[in-house]
Amino acid sequence: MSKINKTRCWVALFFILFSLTTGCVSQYIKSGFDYQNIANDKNVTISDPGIERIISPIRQDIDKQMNRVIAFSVEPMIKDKPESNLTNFVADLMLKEARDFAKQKHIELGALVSYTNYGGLRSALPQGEITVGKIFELMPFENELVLVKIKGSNLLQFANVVAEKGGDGVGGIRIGIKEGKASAVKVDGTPVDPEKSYWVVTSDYIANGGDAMDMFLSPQQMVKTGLKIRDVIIRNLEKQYKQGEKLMAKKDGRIYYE
Amino acid sequence: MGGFIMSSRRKFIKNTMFAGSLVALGGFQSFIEASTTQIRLTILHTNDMHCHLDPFPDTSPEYGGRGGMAKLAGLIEKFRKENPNLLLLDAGDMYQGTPYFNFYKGKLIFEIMNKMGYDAATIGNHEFDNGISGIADYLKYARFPLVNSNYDFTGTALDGKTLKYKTFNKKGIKIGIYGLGIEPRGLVSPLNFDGAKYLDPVETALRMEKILHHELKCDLIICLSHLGLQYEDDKISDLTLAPQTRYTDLIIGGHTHSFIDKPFELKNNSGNTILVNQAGWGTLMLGKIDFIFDRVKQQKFAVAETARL
Repeated sequence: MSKINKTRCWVALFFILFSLTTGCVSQYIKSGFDYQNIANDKNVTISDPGIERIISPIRQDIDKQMNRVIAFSVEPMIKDKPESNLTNFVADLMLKEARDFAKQKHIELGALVSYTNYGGLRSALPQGEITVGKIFELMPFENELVLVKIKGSNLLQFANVVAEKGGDGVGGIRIGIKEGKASAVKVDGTPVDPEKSYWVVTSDYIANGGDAMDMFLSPQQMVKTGLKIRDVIIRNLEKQYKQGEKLMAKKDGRIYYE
Repeated sequence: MGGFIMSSRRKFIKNTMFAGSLVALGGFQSFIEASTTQIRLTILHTNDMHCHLDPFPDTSPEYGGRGGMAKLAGLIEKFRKENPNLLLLDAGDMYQGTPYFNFYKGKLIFEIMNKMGYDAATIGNHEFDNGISGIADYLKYARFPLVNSNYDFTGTALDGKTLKYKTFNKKGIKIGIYGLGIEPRGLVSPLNFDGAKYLDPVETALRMEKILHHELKCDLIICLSHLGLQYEDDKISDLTLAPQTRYTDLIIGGHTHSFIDKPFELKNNSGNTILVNQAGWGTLMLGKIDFIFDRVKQQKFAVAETARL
């Protein structure tokens, strides 16, 4: 091998090593960007058949369950403040269910208040046939009914929060609102005694301090029912429907402006 | 860092000129070509999908007929064909919103996201709807990590199951991702967050980006955030976080279900551009951001070797 060839060989070898090593220590400098937010609407004509294949049988199964009619409502049920047919319907159903549960478990409730938080009701119910799917839309969360026994002073605190919010979903209680405060709070027709104890039926979400409802934390007593609120609604509606009853709930001035 | 880019480029040009004079020696041509390569990295992202597997029903006044995961997957596949050098990310709240979630919990959504090729997601407040175990029990179905840096799950069912940060290598580009979750108070039932701790998102962000930049030498740093785009009060949000960061290039957000035409372009605390984007909710939108990188051979090494010649 001639000297020149040898040198060439070394040079070539170096370049091989050089390119290999430098390849590892390359630096990447961000030099630009562009962007596009794309709507997934009717202009998108491509669809992934693999995804559709996964969803399709599940959709059919769920649709079958969701499309079952369980009630007939005489009017649309829409949440509103200070009270509404929808909030009253759910709150009163919770009262009834809690009483049934307590009777079974031999728990003496006495005065009972119910609370379903306004934000937890996620949609309206239409006039006419109501399907299981509509109740899932109304109450998608897996919340359970919980009974908490709290002091009257805490119940008054609760009534004040309801007043501040301009109304909410309550049952078994009457709250007058004056200048954003609860001015008259009555349970079973009697003013709430701050020293007495009261049972409240609500969701585990609220009972555990959800929506910053701190007055329910550290109750004197707490009973978990294990009943999902959505299941309770579906079961009660279906029972009514099978007896030929129509769904109807009225406003009755339980929360009012003075 | 702007200054750094400039000086690197200057050195790079010098080096290329020097290299150019040696072209005659053969084998160098490819080196020069490699030096001028531009690499495109595509980031696709979603947020707040809320188990909207199907398009919205035609009766939906706002979104009738729009959305749906089969079409979303079709879009993603199209972009993947255009540029396989791609990351697909989600900014949280995959859970809750349709009966698919009530019946299948995390299983179905995770399996579909696997199929779509998600690389990472962060944790939204609704991921806690069935408690910490509602995430932990279903993570086995996800073939992508959940990245969150400001929830401390020590001692809970999620202990060790999520990542504080995650790095990816895409054609030599190192991408670092960290995740920020929203303050659970008032949004998550305390019982469902029991045992976990919420850490300050700003402090956490600064700590994470420092690790990703200094220790792990990432070329691009992305924050997957479920803090929300912006608020009327002084609650921390993506737009208030962005100017406080030093090394973050992009915040992919969620929670506020914000439809925006294009990302916000802000300056971070180092004076560099930081993008903040969000893609609506319910599979109604796909965010796409492409970063272009210049590949530069490292100068110091090359000079030392050539001097030996």
